Amino acid sequence: MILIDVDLWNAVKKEFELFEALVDTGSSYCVIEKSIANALGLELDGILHLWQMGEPLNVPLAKLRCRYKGEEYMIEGLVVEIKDSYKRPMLPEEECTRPESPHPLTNRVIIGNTFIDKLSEEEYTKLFGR
Amino acid sequence: MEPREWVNKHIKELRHKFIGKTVIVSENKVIKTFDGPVNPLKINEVARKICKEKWCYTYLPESEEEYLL
Repeated sequence: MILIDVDLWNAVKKEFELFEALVDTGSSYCVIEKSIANALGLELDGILHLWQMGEPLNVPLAKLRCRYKGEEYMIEGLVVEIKDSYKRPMLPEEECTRPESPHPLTNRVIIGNTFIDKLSEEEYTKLFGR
Repeated sequence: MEPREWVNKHIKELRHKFIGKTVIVSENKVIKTFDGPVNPLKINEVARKICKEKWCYTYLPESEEEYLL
């Protein structure tokens, strides 16, 4: 599991915010949780129509102004809503209907290929070659 | 050492000592801990007040490979 630090632009406060980011080469898009996207004042930029688990899935798209290692990137991201009960550890008395640990998007963003593909060869090698 | 580099180097000790917590790391040490995962914007708000140098944060769950991403 590769964790990195990225800065995302907070359009409300007009400053960058630091995020722990999970690098996921299996994800085509970067992903951010909806309440965090709202707090950052992200403007939605259309809907992505996916076909997942045999059903249609329509996910809002947003442009993310992102800074990594001093370089700025504009990347496409998906905004997903996570149920509040998934954002905390499972309670002892809770029926086991989900993984025990909180959802990763509670406190992180996912860095997918819309970001990874924009890295220079040098940065790409540094990221995956360590 | 960059805070993220320090976290990566000490992740096993951190996971052992601060399991289930979110930690803010700066100047090669843990500056503050929170119980459970915390909204990153809240972490940044606190870190800006208490960290003099660059910081990073990480959440240290018991396990987190249960989700298919």
